[in-house]
Amino acid sequence: METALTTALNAALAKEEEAISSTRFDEIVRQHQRRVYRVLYLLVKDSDAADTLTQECFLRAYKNLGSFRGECRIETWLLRIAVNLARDHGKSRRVSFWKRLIGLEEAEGNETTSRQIPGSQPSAERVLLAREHLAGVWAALTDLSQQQRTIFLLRFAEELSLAEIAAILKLSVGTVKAHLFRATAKVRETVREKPCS
Amino acid sequence: MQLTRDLSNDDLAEIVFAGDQERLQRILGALPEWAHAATEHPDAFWERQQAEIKKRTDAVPQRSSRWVVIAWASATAVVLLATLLLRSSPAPPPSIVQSDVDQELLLAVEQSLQSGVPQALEPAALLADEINRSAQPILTSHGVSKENQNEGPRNEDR
Repeated sequence: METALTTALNAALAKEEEAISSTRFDEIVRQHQRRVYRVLYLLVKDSDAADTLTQECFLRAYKNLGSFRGECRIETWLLRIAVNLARDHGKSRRVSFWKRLIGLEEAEGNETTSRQIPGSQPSAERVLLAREHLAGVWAALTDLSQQQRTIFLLRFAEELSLAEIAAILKLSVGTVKAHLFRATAKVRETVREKPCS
Repeated sequence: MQLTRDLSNDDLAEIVFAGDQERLQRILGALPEWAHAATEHPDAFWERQQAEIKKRTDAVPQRSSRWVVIAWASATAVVLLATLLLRSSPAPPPSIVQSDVDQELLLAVEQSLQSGVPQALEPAALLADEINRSAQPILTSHGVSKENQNEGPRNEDR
C-alpha cells in the first residue's frame, strides 16, 4: 500500500540516487575526457571535431548509462563509443565532400591546415611540433583501411594492449593481431619510401 | 664502396631493412609522446568541455525512475495476461457440436432400423444375399432341366 509518506520517501530516494549518479558521471568525465579526446583527435585529425565528438561521446554514454552492465571497464566502453563516433564522422565527412564537389554544400575553410592554436596554450611550440610529427604519421597511414588505422593508433599511440583493443572494437585478439601485422607492414613500406619524420 | 661491394645481397637487404626497422621503431616509440603533446590544452579548455558536457547532460530528460519502470512492467504484464486469457478462453459453444453428434447418432439408428440387419452383420448379410443370388439361377436351371427330364419320358410315353 502506497501512502503519501511512502510516495514522498520514494521520490526523495530517487532524487538522491539521481544526484549520486550525476556526481559520479561528472567524475567519469573528468577522469576520461583527455584520453577520449586524444583518441578522437588521432582518428579524426581535427581538434575542433575531436572536441565536439568528445562531448557527443559523453552525452551518448550518459544517455546509455543504464545499458552499461559492467562487463568491461568504463574506459573501454567510452572508447568504443568514441571509435564509433569517429567512424560515423568519417562517413559524414565523405558525404560532405561529395556534396561540396557537386555544389550541394558551401565549401568550408580547410579545417586541418587553418586550425587555430589558442594563444594561452602551454608550450604552443611543442604542440605544433607534435602535430607536425603526427601529420607525417597520418600521411604514412593513408593506405590503411579505417579498421587498420584505428588498431595501429590505439596500439602505438595509446599503447593499449591487444586484448583492450579487441574489447573496444568487439573483435577477437587474433583479428586485431592480423590487422596490426598488416598495418605495420604497410607503414614500414611507406616509411622506407618516404621518411615521415 | 669496397665494403658495399663485399656485402652479399642478403647482407645489403638486412642493412636496409634494419634501417627501416630502426626508423619505424623511432616513430612508433615517439608516437605516444606526440599524441599527448598534440592534444595538450590549458585547464580552461578541459573545464569548458566539462561544463559543456554537463550542460548537455542536464538538458537530457530525466531517466524514468525505478517506480515508473516497475509500473510500466506491471501494466505490460497485466495486458499480456489478459491477452493470454482471452486467447485460451473455452472453445466454440459445445451445444452445436453436441447437437451434430446427436443428429449423426439418430441418423445411424434410423439407418440400421431400416436395414433390418444390425450394422455389424451387414457384411455377412450382403454375403448371404450374394450367395443366394448366385445360387438362384443354378437352382432354377436345375429345376427346369429336371422338370424337362421328368416331362420328357412322359411326353415320349404319350
